[in-house]
Amino acid sequence: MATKYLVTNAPYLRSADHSRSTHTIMRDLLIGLSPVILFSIFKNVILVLINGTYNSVFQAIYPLITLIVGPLTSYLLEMLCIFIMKRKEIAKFSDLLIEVKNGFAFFPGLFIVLISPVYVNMWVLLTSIAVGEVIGKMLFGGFGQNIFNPAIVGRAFMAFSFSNEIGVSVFDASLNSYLNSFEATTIDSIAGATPLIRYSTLTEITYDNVVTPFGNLLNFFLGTTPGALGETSVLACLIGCIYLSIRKVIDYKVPLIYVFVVFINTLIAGLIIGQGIWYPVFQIMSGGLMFGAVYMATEPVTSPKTNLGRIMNAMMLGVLTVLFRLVGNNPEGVATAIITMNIFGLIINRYVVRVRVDGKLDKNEIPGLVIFLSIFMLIFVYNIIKIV
Amino acid sequence: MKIRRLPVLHIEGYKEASIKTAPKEFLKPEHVYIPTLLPSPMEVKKEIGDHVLLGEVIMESRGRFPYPVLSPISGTITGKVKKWYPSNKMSDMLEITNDFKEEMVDTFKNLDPENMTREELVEIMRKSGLVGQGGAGFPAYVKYATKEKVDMVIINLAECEPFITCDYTCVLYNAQLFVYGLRYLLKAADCDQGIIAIKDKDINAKVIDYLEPLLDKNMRIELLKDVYPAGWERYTVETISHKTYKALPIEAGVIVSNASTCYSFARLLKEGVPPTVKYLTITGDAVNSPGNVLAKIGSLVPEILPLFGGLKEGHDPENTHIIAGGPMTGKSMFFPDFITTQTLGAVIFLQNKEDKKKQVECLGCGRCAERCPSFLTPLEIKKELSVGNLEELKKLNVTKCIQCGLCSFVCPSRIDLTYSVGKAKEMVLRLGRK
Repeated sequence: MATKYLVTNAPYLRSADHSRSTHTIMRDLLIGLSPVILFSIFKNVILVLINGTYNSVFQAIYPLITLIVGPLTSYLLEMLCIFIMKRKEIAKFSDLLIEVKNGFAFFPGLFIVLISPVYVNMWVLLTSIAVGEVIGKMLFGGFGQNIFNPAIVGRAFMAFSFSNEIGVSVFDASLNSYLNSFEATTIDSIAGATPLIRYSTLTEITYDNVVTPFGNLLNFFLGTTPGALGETSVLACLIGCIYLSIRKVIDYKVPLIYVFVVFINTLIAGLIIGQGIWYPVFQIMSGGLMFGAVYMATEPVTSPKTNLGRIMNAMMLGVLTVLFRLVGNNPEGVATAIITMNIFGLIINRYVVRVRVDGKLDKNEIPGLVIFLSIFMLIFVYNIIKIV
Repeated sequence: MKIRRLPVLHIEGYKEASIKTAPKEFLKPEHVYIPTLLPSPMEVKKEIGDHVLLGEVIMESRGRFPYPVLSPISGTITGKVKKWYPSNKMSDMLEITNDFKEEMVDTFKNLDPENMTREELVEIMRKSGLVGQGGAGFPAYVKYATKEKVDMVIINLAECEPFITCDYTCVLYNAQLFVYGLRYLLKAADCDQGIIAIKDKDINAKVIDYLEPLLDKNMRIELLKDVYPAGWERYTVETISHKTYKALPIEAGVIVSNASTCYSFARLLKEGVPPTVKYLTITGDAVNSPGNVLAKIGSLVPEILPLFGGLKEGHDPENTHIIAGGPMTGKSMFFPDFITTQTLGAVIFLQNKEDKKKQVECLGCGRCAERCPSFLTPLEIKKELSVGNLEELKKLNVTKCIQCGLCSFVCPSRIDLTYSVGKAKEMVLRLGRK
């Protein structure tokens, strides 16, 4: 009998073959992250070296080391997990490498490093990466199966389990870990570590109190304010956002709506308590909001899969961020909001799937949408009342 | 009813390769094979050893819409053999040995379409066993026998799948005959608006130039966007008539027929030849000189292949697809020795470029749901299928799937979504019937 020809399922042309495979998407994500990474190296390593404010070269290049060790740790941990979980399927070492490659194991570690303080204790960092990678990702079954964003799981674990260690610089116990050694000399020590940590301790909110210790709002935009390694620059996030949107890696509507909701909510609250336009601008440019909106809230695995679902998700993220950050007085508002919406994302996903059927809104879905909008408005108004 | 914008996608055509040369002919096969079980079980009217004429009824399909199957050649029925059918299934087939006399039956001789009534035209269409040659294989007369008022007849010349150029070739080399066919299709539908739907792309300009001066007053050419699936009946009807419908286009007052069907009907009326030949595209990167061929229905593909220089040396069968039909909706075959049918438009020998690395998990990007022209959510359907949740599958409207293949096409993790949704649809239809 003649040789059998290859039989697979239709279609026989796939766009993944030439342009749009998951590997190219992940490569694009890395390129989209590069402005943030480059800026963080510029700010925390190069500026420190130029100004010579470091005690040792090790201290100066410490952020660079974390940027290398972090991704490497999650890569090795993923390899270990896959080896334990799929021992029987893996015959050769190269199989293992392909599995890890298809799991995109560098990303959780990289993200955790980028949203952690600059001089955080290495053991705190590595433990968090281990928790994020193993509990947040591999226990759910690896890439594509996780319910929570692994990076946020790790970061939340760091915030809640090492609440004492996280804020203390690994080099000098009297200094804050969010300040690199250059900032430690320039930023007035009474200013508090980051704008948001300072904000949460303030009793009186004025422009001079909130913004002036860190320069002006342009500093926030460029990112020369203290904060987590990769989070500070709004500009770098915007460049990344534009690139990723053009390459269709992320849905530009998500960061847009997310930031817009936070802006409107704080604008109204700010106007009532007599603050100017600076107040909402400060809120959207400080902390991890921009970074979270561009790189975390858009993470495809854990966010809703349909257009309407993503819009709903982004709207809820907006009000929840304001709720956790300003009402709950918690500087980790963005991370908490995203991890909360990861849970509700499952419900939105399930629900919006049906909304979409047939391309138009089904009558049966209107009560659900009304409930969603009421919850949204409720939190929106509650935020304003509590801030006022 | 409000018109929705159907999600579509531009796909690279790869059509140039097969239109460089004039179509070849393959009209004198040694044997032809007529399946007795596919596409539906047939009632066989002839015995082994009987002599048949070209156009004689050999068997009859006994479905909801019965139609006869005619002999494509004159000769003797010499046996019952097992051969491959283009759905990658094996079937019992009657083997007819050609006597090369081309003797025809009297049924279709000396037709005078000018003086035939609408009913007579539809009846001759039924007797000729003409089925829709676009792919579904629905008997053509059923559409035209409608009692509804028909506003327009759309001839589907979109040919939206990549690689296929059989309709293009058919119309380009038979433009006059094609318009003649449309004239009487309009008469058979009793309507005065004939529309030829063709894609707006460079290679089609030639066809449009040929057709334009030949058209009657009540015919016109409408351009479709160069997207996939532009040839989908629903897309064509909704973009041209601006009306939508639930199940069949006739609800919107439209009859859609394929260009090849129109050509076959024209030959039936003008030359008295029942639909026994079909243009077929033989292409793909494993064929030496791709092109089109006018072949007898029921011929074996390997006998046609030498006309195109055969397959390239050094292609690896284990890494080459033989696709019966278009690359988006066709079936891949185990062996190249299958037969041609009225609905087969192309045979594509495509070397596989897929790397053998293990599949990446679903990223959850939602592109499949974004692109589905039926507004389904393939990734959720796949999930529900894996747990066998029938109720949920029904709620997800799986039966609306048209198997266009776009979800698998756009999937960055190359997951076989189309296959899963197709399976889910099958399951719901099967269990729903019980």
